[in-house]
Amino acid sequence: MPERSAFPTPPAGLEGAHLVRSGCPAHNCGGRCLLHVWVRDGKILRIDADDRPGDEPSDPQLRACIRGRAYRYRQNHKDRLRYPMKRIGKRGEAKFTRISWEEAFGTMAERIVSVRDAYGPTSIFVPYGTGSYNLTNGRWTAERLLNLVGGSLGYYNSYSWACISAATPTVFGTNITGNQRQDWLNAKLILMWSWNPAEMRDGTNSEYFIRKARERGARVVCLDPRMTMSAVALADEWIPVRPGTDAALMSAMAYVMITEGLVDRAFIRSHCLGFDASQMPAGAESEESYEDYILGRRDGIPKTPGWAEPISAMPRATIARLAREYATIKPAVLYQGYGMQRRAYGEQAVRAGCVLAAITGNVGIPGGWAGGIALQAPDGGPRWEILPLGENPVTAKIPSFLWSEAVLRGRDMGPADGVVGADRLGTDIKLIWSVASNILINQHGNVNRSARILADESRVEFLAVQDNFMTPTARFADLLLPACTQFETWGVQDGWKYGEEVILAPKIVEPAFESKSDYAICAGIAAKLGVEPAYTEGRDERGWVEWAMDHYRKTRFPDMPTLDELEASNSGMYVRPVTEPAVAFADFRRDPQAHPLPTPSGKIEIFSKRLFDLKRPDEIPAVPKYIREWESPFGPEAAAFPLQVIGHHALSRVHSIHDNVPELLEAFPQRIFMNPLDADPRGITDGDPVRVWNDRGALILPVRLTSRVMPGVLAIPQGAWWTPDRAGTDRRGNVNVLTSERWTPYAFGNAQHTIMAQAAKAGKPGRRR
Amino acid sequence: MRQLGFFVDSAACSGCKACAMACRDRNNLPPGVRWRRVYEVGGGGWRREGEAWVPEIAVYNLSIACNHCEKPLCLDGCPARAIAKREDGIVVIDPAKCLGCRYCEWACPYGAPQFDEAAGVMTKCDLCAGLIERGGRPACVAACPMRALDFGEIEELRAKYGTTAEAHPLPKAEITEPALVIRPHRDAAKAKTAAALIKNREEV
Repeated sequence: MPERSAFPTPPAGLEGAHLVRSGCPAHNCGGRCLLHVWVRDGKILRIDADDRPGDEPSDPQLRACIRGRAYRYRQNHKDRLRYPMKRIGKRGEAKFTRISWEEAFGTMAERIVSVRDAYGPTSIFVPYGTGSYNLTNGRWTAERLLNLVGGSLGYYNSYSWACISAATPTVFGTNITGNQRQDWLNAKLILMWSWNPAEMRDGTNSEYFIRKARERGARVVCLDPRMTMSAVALADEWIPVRPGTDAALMSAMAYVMITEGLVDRAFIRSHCLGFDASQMPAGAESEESYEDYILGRRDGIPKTPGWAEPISAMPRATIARLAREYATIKPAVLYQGYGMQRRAYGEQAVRAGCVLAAITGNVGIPGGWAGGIALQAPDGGPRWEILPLGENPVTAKIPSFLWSEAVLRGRDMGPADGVVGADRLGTDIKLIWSVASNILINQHGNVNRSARILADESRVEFLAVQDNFMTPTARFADLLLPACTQFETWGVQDGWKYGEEVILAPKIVEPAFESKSDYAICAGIAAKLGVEPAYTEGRDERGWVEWAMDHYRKTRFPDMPTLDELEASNSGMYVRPVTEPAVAFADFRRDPQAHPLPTPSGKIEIFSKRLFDLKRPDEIPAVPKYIREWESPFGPEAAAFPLQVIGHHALSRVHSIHDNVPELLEAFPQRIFMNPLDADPRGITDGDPVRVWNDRGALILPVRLTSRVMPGVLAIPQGAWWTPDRAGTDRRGNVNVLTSERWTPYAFGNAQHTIMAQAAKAGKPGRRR
Repeated sequence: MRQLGFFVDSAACSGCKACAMACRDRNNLPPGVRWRRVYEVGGGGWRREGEAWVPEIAVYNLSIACNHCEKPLCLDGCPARAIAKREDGIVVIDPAKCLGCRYCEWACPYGAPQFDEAAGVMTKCDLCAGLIERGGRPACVAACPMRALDFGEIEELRAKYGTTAEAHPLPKAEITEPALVIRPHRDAAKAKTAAALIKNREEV
């Protein structure tokens, strides 16, 4: 290896270029990687990899995936939005005309004031969206501005992990339930349950840590309806599970453990609540315990492997073997991914997984894993918001997924619809300002419905969209504000779910055309609203990065250099190596009396009195249960729509970002993935155009026949840009034409993977390749 | 004579293609020109067991560039003598001499030479010779998130990783004597009985 230089000599072909080390313009993949960006004459020419010496598990290189490696194609894309524009056709027709920034700022300020004055600030909404994880840009900039002029309707939770973030605390009282990843090297068994770090990147290097654990002797088993890239490269065994049945499988595993005496009775006695009749909480002494449910004492249905086999499509012998392995090979990690909780009763699989970790005694020990969302011990890990937002005068918040409800019937929405901070919203949403977000059209459940709602100009009276490209959401804008990319402004990034680093995203090139940073756009609007000094506090983008670095130094990283020092070193990042990985709940494990959990009982709540008191046992039981989904292969809907559809994450995109980058689509073309056993009876051959439809919509896309997806399941990678033809059939493969706007009962989360559909060959057969 | 080559840990390769994109970015490759290709090999089917489904399939990935063979058939087949083997074993194409006849493309059993339509010449992996002469690593090797690629003197690679240079459905090593070491995936052993094929033809 050559000496690592702060400012290396450019290689042949890049004469005159200089190198800037920078964070990958993180959107909402799970990674935060380091890129080496070669720049000449204001243009990005090449991107190299992290070259820090060592590459040890305590401080591994942050190597970018294909998306980061392809970033210059997005940066130098011909379709970048160039100028502010206003709508001239009907909403959604995508007919615009160029205007000046002066007019754009003025329009934006005027509409914020007029809507606020007519309907109140609760009618103004900046939707969920993760297009920018540059922490001093993105949607936070708009929120900060609105808070200075009356506020806006807030939201809570996310489209990623609403159920897991809501259900984990019902068991543990907190979402900080994970060990630092270096601790995976201490595990003897790792169950990757619905978890696919190789494709969705659940933290840069998560796949590398699993590899390292395996090298140290851990057995790795992957449970997923797809044989994912993770299943191929990381696991010793892949076991398919029918989508939406994880809680049934977990219950049957518990049955085997209980009836074969494999549960950790001592740990259950000392650390858990509600496992059996002997430890029920006050006020629920005679209610159904977890053991009662598993053994079928009340409902007459023992949750045996034989019971779970027809539900999960997993052989009963395999279920029993898996249960014995997890209960006896210790310490063990049962890592819960997020796909299985973006489902009808996603809360149940989350709670059931946490309970399995508890009854096997895998909580609070090195090499173990408590389950749940598993934010990183000891401090919860990275921060995803750093720009100070100020105080929002509007206290009401809605679940992020229920924005379309708040457009249609916000005035009547209250706690029954998940509203917090107010008894009633009292108004519908009338102004939407979508910043770095493609949620409104592309990523929400049931695209066709979303498009109908937003096309009605009497509902949302003003819709501003701020983005880099003409996304499907941008096509519905009244006012289009061209944001620059993250290579064109200053920013800072923190590791995503895991990470002991702060990564700098310096301004590398000038904003393209007339585009501006999210921050500069908001500052321009702030000037029109007369609040610019309060908004900027005299700082530019770099000034806020400096502020953020100071903040990190005061909170997580006292030894971090200053921004000036980091910039001078051109290192791009500060990292704190992890040599002694933290273990969640270690104190509680050692002494549960002295270190109780933040649950009502201070213990691991296998039975949740709080959930019991909601008195909705059919949908929100007090102990985790398998509940048949509202669209399922076992319901009457399966007659017309017999196939389950999952919209998995693919490496060609981060959600909907990069869908317009041909180089990525060449690597991973958008396809329907279908098992030959489902294709044969339909006369479908590999490469055919296939129509997939249900009551909500239809798409046509070439099919890839593969045995890597289980029979009865179609996989359509989520995030493709909605492209309807004249008949309304999507031609690009946006799975959300099939998904539903229905939310989960407890978390008010999206259940977009719970859908059924039918498939048939479309038109003329495609060319076989 | 020295002989540089590649190692690919097929057991650890997820098929993520960071290597292929790093190669494309470094070498400014136009669409369709793929100096490094990641083959998804798959075969087999599913068995009903009671009311359950049991997969009996074999799936793995092979990330293959140019193997800088000791018997390069591309070189032998080039009527313009545009292909040469350097002292360090790297096989290179001289674009000034290349006629664009594409004979080398037909000759190479690995699909390494790739035709650049716009330039009218054949192109291929040069093991990032310019980088490694400066002490660096090939872009693909440096890029791999799984650390599944390596390069170096082929004898050193063989000492470190073994001598396997074949995996279904790659050609027999004796044909070209590739400077390649493969650590096979566990499924490679059952690939033939599972009638495994390249499943991502349109991507490679």
